[in-house]
Amino acid sequence: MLRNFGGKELLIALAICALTAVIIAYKVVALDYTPALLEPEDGYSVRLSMDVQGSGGVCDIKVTLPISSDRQTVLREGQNADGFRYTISPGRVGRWYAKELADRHSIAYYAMVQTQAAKYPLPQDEAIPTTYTLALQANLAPEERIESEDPAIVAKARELAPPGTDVRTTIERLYDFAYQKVTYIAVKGPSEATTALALGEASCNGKNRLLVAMLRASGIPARMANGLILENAGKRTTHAWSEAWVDGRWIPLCPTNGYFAEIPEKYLELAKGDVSVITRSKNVGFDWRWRINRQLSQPQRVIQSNAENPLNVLQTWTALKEYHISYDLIMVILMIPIGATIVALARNVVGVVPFGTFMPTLVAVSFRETGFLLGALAFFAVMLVAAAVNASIMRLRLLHIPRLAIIITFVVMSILLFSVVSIRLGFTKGAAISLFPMAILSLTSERFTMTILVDGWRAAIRRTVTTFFVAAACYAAMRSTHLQIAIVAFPELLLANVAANLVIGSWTGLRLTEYRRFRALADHDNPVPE
Amino acid sequence: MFGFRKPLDAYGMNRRNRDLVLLHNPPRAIALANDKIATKRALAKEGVPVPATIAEIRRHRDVAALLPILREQRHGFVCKPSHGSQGRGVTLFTRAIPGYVLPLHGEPWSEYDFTYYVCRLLSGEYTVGRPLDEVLVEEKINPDRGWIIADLAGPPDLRIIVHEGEPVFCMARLPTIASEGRANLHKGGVGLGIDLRTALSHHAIMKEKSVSHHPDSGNPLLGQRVEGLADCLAMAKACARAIPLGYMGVDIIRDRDRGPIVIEVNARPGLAIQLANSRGLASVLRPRRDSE
Repeated sequence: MLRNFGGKELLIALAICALTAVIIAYKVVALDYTPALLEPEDGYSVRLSMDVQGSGGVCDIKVTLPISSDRQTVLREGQNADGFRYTISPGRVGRWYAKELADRHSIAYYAMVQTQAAKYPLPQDEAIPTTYTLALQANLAPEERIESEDPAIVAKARELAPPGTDVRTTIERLYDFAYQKVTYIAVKGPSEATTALALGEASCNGKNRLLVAMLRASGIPARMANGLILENAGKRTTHAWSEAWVDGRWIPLCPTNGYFAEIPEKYLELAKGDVSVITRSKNVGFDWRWRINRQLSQPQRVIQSNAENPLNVLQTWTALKEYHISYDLIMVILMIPIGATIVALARNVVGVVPFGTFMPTLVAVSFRETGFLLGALAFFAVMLVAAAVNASIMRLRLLHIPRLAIIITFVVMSILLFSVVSIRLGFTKGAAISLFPMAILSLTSERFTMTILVDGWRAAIRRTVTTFFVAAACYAAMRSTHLQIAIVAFPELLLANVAANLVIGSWTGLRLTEYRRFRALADHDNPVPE
Repeated sequence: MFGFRKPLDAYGMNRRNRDLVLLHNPPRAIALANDKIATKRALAKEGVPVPATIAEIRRHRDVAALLPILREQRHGFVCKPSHGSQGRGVTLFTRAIPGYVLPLHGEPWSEYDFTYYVCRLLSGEYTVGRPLDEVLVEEKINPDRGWIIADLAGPPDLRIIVHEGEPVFCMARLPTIASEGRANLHKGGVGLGIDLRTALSHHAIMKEKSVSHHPDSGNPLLGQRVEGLADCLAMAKACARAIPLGYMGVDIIRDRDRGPIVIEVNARPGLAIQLANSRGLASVLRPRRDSE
């Protein structure tokens, strides 16, 4: 039974597995290590870095912080600032105050947030109420830049929705006007509702001030909302949208990006009303930057729950976060050995031959970035381009490496074209074809053209398909969040991966693909000719 | 799993790589065997007959000097990448005349075509995994087509497996029309299992299935005697002395004028020889191991 395995290797593998089990047991039993067993949830880390140059006087900085609501949760937050007194008001305004501040200081605020998309149904044929509570009446009054009693605004609101129009239609028409008829332009500085109306173009803030002003003019309480758009990026700008009070709740409206009575997952709310997210005292040099990263919150939780645990190597990774190394990246790196084992299985046990050695693992990593379907599409499209280019330049007398360079150039150009076209068509995922997948696909296309030259078309196509399936298997194994969580909680499990390869590496049995070929030699005993 | 229930005599790639290649063949020796130029020198030193070398081209700038040398060749010549395998990039030529180089098959090549071809070999185009290669130009041998059986579509060759210095397996490879005259099993050539002691063929395969007659001529394949097998086995042993591989394949062709010549040495010979002999490698290796 075991004759096809190496005895020494099996023993070492067993020993390694035992060691792994002992380490895990010790962590769990003796050190009370808690692996988090919950399903992982996606979230975003939001980091605000502020640089302050004091001139010796008072420094007072206020930032409206993420709000918790029914669609938005702040999982954790924290700040780090030397020489400041930090307070949070009940209204979620963070305040950094220093009486006498000189020299350069930096302030960092960090929050881990989760958001959900939400849609709000609006009532049919309901009249606009005539009375509101005192608290709501503030949302009907004009403000400095929301001139809801300005004659031009009132006239426009009446023209769009004459008195007597029901609340839903009124909001729809006013929203449509702000969304469709007011052109978006990127301008710095304040723009008032009246200016937006007069010019027919406005920034995001101007569009919303106009919408809020018209809603108020029509007797619907309305206010602005301020927040961040969550995407992997560093940015300085925040985003504004509006809210209208209908049937006892606030309904979000975004006339900039076209969300009517709905709010997308990527909107993180920071403040209500026409306020600045960041305000500061005068006479200080000031610069700021938001840094937003999407990440799995689960590893975070594992790290937190074992913060005091001496065996928690993940503690080190919290330090990596300082350098903006995302957990996502660490996950990819941790999963690469698993992908490598899949390739070892495919080659030595199944007996198929993909391109390169660990090329399928790398292709799988790039699928992770693009998503599987898009990745698969890109993979085959790139091979097709490579084949077409190769076929058309074969007639020219080109030396080998320059020819490959030409093929890679065309591959890169077509990936770019693919990105541009998919963005034009509204598939934003197509834009995700970033540097890494591009490099990997270019390398694979090189192997592909080499194989066409050396072994012919059939072999090249067969190996392409093989590479794709092995990559898909790697992807399936590597994207398993349970496996990811297990390895993050117990990195020593990677030792078991070593053990697995000791077993695979010492196995001398027939590969699946060889089995048919050599079966005949065992079926009947061939007398040895003497 | 596979191979567990019944002990298979057949070696698969895993077993060949682990129990033969990794055990017996040090990486340096494998590198030597993969380098045709270096292999030839080592073999010649041990007195093994090899095809005569016309030129060894290592740099693109040497290509220009090649054509005048080739024009003096009267018996044809072969160009091959030094690190190529499975005959990739190998081309046979009958001669070179001013302006043209004449291949054995097909239209004449212009000198420009020929130079481009040699440059492609030098650039490592037919050598997977190597950015650059050298080119070996040899005198074309005058192979004896009738060595094993009559009426073949091309020259046959003999593959001998040498394990720790001793020949253990032998197979004759016969070209067919289907294999385009090449002694290549996966292209459709016939593999003939040869008994080492009696020099008689005892089994034959084509496309991995047993056959008894040659598909082109209908000539019987079994019970054929390989003339001069003893010399070939001695040559294979000499190869094992020249190149420190504990497990190797030696390919021999019989030249009409010079007799058997070693054309290639292989550090990872294929496993089809087991099918040709209808016996697994284990059955010929195990007794040797037990006696140690």
